[in-house]
Amino acid sequence: MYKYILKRLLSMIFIVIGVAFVVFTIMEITPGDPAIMMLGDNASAEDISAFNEKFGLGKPFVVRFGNYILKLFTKFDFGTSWLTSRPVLSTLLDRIPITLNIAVSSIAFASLIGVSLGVLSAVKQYSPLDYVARVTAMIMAAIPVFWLGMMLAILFSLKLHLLPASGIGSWKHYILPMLTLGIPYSARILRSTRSYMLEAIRQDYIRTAKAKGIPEKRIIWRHAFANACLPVINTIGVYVGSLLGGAVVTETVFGCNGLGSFIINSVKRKDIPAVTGGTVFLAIIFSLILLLVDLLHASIDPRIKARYSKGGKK
Amino acid sequence: MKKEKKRMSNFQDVLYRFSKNKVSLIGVAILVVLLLVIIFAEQISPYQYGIKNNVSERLQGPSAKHWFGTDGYGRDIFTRVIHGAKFTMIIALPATLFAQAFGAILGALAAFYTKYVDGILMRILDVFQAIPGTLLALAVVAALGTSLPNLVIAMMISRIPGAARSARAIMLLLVGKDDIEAARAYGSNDWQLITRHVMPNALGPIIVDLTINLSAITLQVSSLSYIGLGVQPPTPEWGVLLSEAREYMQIAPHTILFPGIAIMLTALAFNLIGDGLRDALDPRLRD
Amino acid sequence: MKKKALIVMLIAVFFIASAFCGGSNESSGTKASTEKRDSINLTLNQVVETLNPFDSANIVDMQLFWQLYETPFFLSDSGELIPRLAESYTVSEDGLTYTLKIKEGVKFHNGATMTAEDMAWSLQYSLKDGPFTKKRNNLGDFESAVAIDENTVQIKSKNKSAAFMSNIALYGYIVCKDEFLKARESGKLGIEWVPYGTGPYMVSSYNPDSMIVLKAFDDYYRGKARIETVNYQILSDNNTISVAFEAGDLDFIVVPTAKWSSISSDSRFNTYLAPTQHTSFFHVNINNNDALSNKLVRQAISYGIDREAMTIIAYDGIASPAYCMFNPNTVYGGFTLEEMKAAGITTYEYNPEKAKALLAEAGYPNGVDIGTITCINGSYWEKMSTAFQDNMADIGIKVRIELADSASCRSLRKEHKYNLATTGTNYSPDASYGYQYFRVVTDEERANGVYSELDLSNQELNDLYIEAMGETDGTKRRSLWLDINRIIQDEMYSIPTFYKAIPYAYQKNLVCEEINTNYYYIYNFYWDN
Repeated sequence: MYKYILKRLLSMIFIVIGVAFVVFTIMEITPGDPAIMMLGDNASAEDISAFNEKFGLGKPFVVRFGNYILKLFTKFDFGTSWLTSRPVLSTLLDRIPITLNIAVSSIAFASLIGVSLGVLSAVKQYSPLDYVARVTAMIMAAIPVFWLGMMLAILFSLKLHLLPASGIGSWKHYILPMLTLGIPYSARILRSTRSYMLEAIRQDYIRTAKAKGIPEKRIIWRHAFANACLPVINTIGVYVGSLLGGAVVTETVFGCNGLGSFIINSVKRKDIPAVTGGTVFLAIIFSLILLLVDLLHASIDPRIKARYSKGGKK
Repeated sequence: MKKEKKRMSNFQDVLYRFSKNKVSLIGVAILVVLLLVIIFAEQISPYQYGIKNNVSERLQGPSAKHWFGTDGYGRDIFTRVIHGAKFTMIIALPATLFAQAFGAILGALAAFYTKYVDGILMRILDVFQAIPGTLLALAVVAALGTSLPNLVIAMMISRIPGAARSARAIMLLLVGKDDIEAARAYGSNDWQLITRHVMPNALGPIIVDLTINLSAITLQVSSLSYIGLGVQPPTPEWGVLLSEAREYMQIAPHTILFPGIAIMLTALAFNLIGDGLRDALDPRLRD
Repeated sequence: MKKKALIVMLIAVFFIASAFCGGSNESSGTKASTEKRDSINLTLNQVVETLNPFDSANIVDMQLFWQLYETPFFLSDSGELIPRLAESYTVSEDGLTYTLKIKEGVKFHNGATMTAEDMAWSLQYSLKDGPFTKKRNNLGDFESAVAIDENTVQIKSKNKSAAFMSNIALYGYIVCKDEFLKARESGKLGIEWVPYGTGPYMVSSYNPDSMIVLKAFDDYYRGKARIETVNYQILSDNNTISVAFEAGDLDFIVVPTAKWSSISSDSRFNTYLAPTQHTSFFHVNINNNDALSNKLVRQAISYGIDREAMTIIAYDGIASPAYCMFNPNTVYGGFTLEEMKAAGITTYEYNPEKAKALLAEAGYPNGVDIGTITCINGSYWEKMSTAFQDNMADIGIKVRIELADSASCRSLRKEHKYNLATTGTNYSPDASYGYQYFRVVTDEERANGVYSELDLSNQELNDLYIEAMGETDGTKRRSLWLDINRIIQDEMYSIPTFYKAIPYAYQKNLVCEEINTNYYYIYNFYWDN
């Protein structure tokens, strides 16, 4: 098992390099000259070449990429923003708590609602409750985030004066973003949970268990749910990942500027070190979460654990 | 020959069971209406009404003349929604299908060849999945320009890693099962195992994924429009309708309501059909 | 058994719901109090890049600069110079040397007293040596600034220029020299360390990503500001801004145009529609496309725009149609529709028939495809372009809209890879700011990186512009600018669309004594109970 974790941590290095490479390539092929962006329209040819010289932009792609990776691994240096001259890492450290707060709270909320309703819906398949839950979920999943966010803000902030509409001052500020992201994700989790639960309930051994006269409650939770947990956890893991950098719209609507909006804004302004640094940082956190998910997987399903340790020994 | 016949009867079987599921048929009905709307859009309401500005009829609520009201340009929202169906489907359908197909293939390979392929594939997917989908889409659109095909590519690329990951999880579960081991013991080769045993069993969850993704992609286009990338004006794609309505949603809620309902109904239809198909395809329900 | 699961779930939902409500009760309690406030909540719509006034010309950063830093003079809306850090100035006979008397006893935020050396160095750095100069276009005349004694600064100009001191009043921020140099040496400048200025506010806490807090400077030479604390929150979504304002979380905002009519008619708020010196327009690239290089086609396009409708579609009616390249509020260069007509200059009021006739005369009786509009996505540019596209369809001109982010648009414009491009400019301090567009760039200048977006070769216009910029006599200057307008309107190198106004709204008991065309100073605000 430890060998496996070690192997995964090693593969994180690969992921970091891979992400940096992809982002470097992306920024290379997108139009727009960074020097013009940073220096203004009237920058002279000398200024531009000085800028390119200073940040090593004249050098070939491979050299720049190599230097970046070298600095990243030896000095943990994520680069310095061209726009603000601020080390990218310090901006990231400022913003990561915001992002984590939003992502974790909304996934927790979504999982709680989604998994419990999903299980219920599967157990009571084709009951009115099942239909109501499913249709509500479908509608919730189809509401645009900015609309849901604005409606929640109007309701809780403007009409009821219960919560602040924007900002990041206290925990109260995180409730609306949590709901805005949590509601659509709970709908998605509900659907996946229901589907995996149904899958599990129909397995032969469940029927065998039923035939043996084991109480239904026990069958559902100890056997069916335990089995469905696996893909559900996987799904949730994927959602956490997509939430980390993908909450741009919610971040914008509620003025809680996290990693997502940092990266997107930097892309728009061609601040390449900020984009690369932000994405690589995100990738590291993301890989850690995936590792966690896989470990959870292994601890739940002994078959997978066996395969991992088998692989590890080789 | 015999096999062909058996497959055919399976298909009929599935169709039969599907048609018995009343709720799914509602989904089919919605899709049929959608298809008719796409085909006869021009006859229902000429495209011109949807792009012609009319400042004197701006932001009007629903009326006999404008069933869904008008937008900030004074254009007829009904016409825009009707014609938007085509543009939305042109983006969402191919993007989802390709993403899901690629995802399923990659997932199957990973689940089956756990020795090397799984590790390498998963690491590559990890790389792409570790980059926010919005950034990937943004980069593709920025590099290629905003046009319909480029949006499809952007959406597809940003969806493949997720699709592959969930396909792999589903298949991993199946590969470990006894009947697959048994089939292997009886001498089936990998290809046969994948096509006959794993794929059919995995199809259910994959279709569920697909239906969810279809609605998600429609919404993702509107998010892209929110950060400033989408189809070019005055194309009435639904996501664009939503994002155009954003600034008026407080003073003229109908501008966001009708495109929102259109997206919702479509998503609902796909989801219902997905659920029905899953039940119909499920081999364990046959007896 | 199944019921139990349901009950457990209901309880869970109830707990979550009660957690929300429990937290909220406190907040509504604190909000109810209406004691006299000494703080104000404002918003910036983008992340702040830097608080180093020499390193940014970004409108978001500048909103903070206005509160933190000052220049020798304050430029009023009508173009007058009102003494601030300088008491007075004199100009030499040849118009090339300016002598400034500094105000004595002005303190920097760190307590140091401002000297002539501080001012001379700051001017030299902000207008010539520093990085900032590259982001602006009209500082080319500045030659040097030196302190010639304790309280006198001498500034030299390369050319005779009427707007010279106005430019200094706009961009010549004065900071404490020694501390600035020390900080620059240590590499902390800009983000971790904020330069010491003389403004009525100083930085209290600075988190460029979310919140910037300013506090009133005790020793401000014009008397301490009445509002003690200023909170700037970063919010970029227009709907959020207006909801937060209506909920009372923000005190002073720029209203999203779509919300203007509802907010301005709401008795809970004060509103003010601030005029600007801004013109929105389409740049035309005459070197890229046969149709657009034809003057008649450009004129036809201009006649074909329904500007009245466009202001409503693109700016919800709080802009006014533009019939002159320069906003009438522009010092010198701007003229109203009546003035233009009186001078016999073509004004291109909406006339689709005339447009079609001109198009036919140009050789395109069946319409023509003029390529693409390079349009900055979002904001009102997209709506302006869409309305334009619809207008053009009516007269038989086909045009596509290509949306891109501002960085890409800028690149495309700079490389002249566009047919039409959306742009807007604040003609500040005066119409000479437009020289960058209409000038002729010589080969030598081109080699030095000078560029012009329009890339014209109209020598007559170029020369007239130079003459007008150097003319210090007001009447002569104005008549020169009328001639310039005559050429620009005839050639239609650039098609003006509308002049926007800035819609401000603020809470009822906030008093804003003065809001200028291009800026607001919190120093002029106070709470009235």
